[in-house]
Amino acid sequence: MKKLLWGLCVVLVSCGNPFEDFVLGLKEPIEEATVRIQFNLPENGKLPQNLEFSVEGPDAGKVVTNLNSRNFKISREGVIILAVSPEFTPTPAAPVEFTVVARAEGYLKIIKTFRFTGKANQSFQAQLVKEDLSGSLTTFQAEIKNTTYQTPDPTQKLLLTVQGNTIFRDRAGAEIPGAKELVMMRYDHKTAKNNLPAGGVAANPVGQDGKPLENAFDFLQVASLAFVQISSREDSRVVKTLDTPLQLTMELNPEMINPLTGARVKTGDMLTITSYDTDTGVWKDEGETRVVSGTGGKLQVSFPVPHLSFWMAGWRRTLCKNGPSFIVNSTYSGVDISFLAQLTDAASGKVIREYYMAVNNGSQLTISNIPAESEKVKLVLYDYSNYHGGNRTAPVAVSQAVSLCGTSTVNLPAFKVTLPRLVEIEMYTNCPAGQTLDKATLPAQMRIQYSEVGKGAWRDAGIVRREQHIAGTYRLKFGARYDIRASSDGGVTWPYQQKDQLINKTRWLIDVKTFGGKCK
Amino acid sequence: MLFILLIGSKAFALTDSTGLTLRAVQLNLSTRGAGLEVAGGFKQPLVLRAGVNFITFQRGFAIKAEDGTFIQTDPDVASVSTHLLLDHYPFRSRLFHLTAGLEYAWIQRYTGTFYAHEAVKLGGVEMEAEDFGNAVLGIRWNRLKPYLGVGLKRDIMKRQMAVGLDVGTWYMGSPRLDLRYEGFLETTTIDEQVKQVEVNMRSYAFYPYLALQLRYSLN
Repeated sequence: MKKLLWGLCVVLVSCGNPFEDFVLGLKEPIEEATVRIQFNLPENGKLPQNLEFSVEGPDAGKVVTNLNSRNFKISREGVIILAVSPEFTPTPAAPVEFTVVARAEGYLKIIKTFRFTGKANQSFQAQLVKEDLSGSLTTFQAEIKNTTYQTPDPTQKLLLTVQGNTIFRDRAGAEIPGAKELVMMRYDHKTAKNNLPAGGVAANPVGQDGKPLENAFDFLQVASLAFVQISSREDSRVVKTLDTPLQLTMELNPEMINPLTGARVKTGDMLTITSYDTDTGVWKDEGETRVVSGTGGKLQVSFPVPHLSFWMAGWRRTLCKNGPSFIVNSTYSGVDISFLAQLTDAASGKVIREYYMAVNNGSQLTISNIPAESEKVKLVLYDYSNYHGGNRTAPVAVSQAVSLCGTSTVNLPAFKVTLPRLVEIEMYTNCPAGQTLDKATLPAQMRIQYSEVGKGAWRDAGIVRREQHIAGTYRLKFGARYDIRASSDGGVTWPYQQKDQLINKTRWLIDVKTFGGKCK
Repeated sequence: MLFILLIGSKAFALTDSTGLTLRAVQLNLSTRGAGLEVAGGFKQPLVLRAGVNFITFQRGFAIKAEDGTFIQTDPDVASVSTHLLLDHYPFRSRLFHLTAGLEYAWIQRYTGTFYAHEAVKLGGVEMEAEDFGNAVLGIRWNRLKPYLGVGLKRDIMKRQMAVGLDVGTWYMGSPRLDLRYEGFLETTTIDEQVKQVEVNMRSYAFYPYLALQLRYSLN
């Protein structure tokens, strides 16, 4: 009996502390072979509520988030970072290829394929565009059942004719059977140039025969920019080529000026046709076509489309592929803000292009892909930074004149730019007397952003890491008040905030005691 | 329900074909909630008890964080169980008894949901309610639980009404934790830490039982 009662007593009081050895740390984000996907926020600064996101393709199982999770969730700021799982190493011989599919009711379906052959990181801007838009940008989305499709804009239609007997093939040349979905977008001549893929600079274009062209080019004017995507309804495989080409017809605005003649575009004008493959990044000269009078007397161009990508009709101009390099002479290092530099025509002083350049001693700005419209150029530096502004009227340095086309190297003295006070950011834990911070317990990284108080306009301030837990920045203005926030997951979410902080110390402390920063 | 039991037990013969004699019905107020039991003797010095216990609790409360900010907690506790206990009266006084038995929990829900209505401050940093997100922590034990205990009550009541006492423990097995969450916890190593807590709680396998009974004699 005594034993029984004793046993009863023991079991009633034998519970230990459930939180013994409990240490809440932060996951370490994967930083190699990642792709950062940034969605626009079309619903008043938010994602569409019904947005569906998936990772498809034969290598989809090798893909994780940068926190090594299969929970593919887009942050409320529209960011998701995917990564090749650390269990796999992509190589040119064994690449990892997968396709991201995003769809939301009322929006065009987004399909984007990523291919990793190494550890390099990628990024992608995913634009959620409403379907059935009419105007400068007109859009259309439907299942392929008929032979002819057109965007809803009544004034400048984009028409697509599909041959009924054509065979649709993917990039590998395999036939894609079954039901297919069509997405079409068209920008008119007013908006096309600002929406060209890859900035509209064909740095390494190929000709109709697929061989590299000698010169790079961009566009004086784009009459119409079209994007056509056909994909399998079942598995979202994207159609790349067709055995019988599609016919694409672009109606043109008769008010548009032909930049070569200075007069309104008219029948008989010749337009160059260019394609851009978003998967390979290849610009291709697809020849020329003549403006004709179409249905109802509307001006149009029409041409066959044997492969799907961006297609544009317009007028090109030749670029200098390689220009001069300007090397900074200064006493600075570790400066993380840039200063305004204007490339000007040496003879007329006309500004050709603006840059923000680093001013650390030895840093280099190389000019490339500039229209060959000037012989000699100078680079003019101003005490005007991309973070704090300044004086953009009185130059602080002017380089000597150099040829715009052709490689040459010129020094640019940058001693006279004004640097703000350096502010250091430190991952910190307040250790008791006699103890010091155990750096091994620090979070792997903390990305820091700041904004003017209450504005929510966030800019990067720097990254502090376990190995380098103090980082200096010139981006914060000493004496100013900021909202500051931190991300431990590579910039997907920013849960940790310090609001309305006065920067009155040269070292700003980010307290990480809650997330692993221990003393020893 | 008690009324129905009383009427039923009076209306029918109180001895069934197994020789079991219904002796009492009793209301339980215990660490397992409120409950009802019937007790019957079939072979001295043994008494068999069958009963049901239930407990439910859903009232939310706020946990104070830093600088006057709060984390809201919504518990959801619900347990409905039936049990069968055998009392053995070792002494002639017929007051003290040893008890062993089994319980089966038909419903056992022990969860807490944690979230914030407004920004929360933790460890010197502030989190918007949306960034804080929410976490639902659930804990499960075995549905079938053996019982061992002692008690004070007479096997054959001398009065119509009396009180009784049980003290003992249910063996529930080690608990399993289930944590689901979204928000800042997604960026933390909380999953590994939940496993650590589960290990630390291995000994949380026994549930103490203290019951007071209001008994009504059927003799």
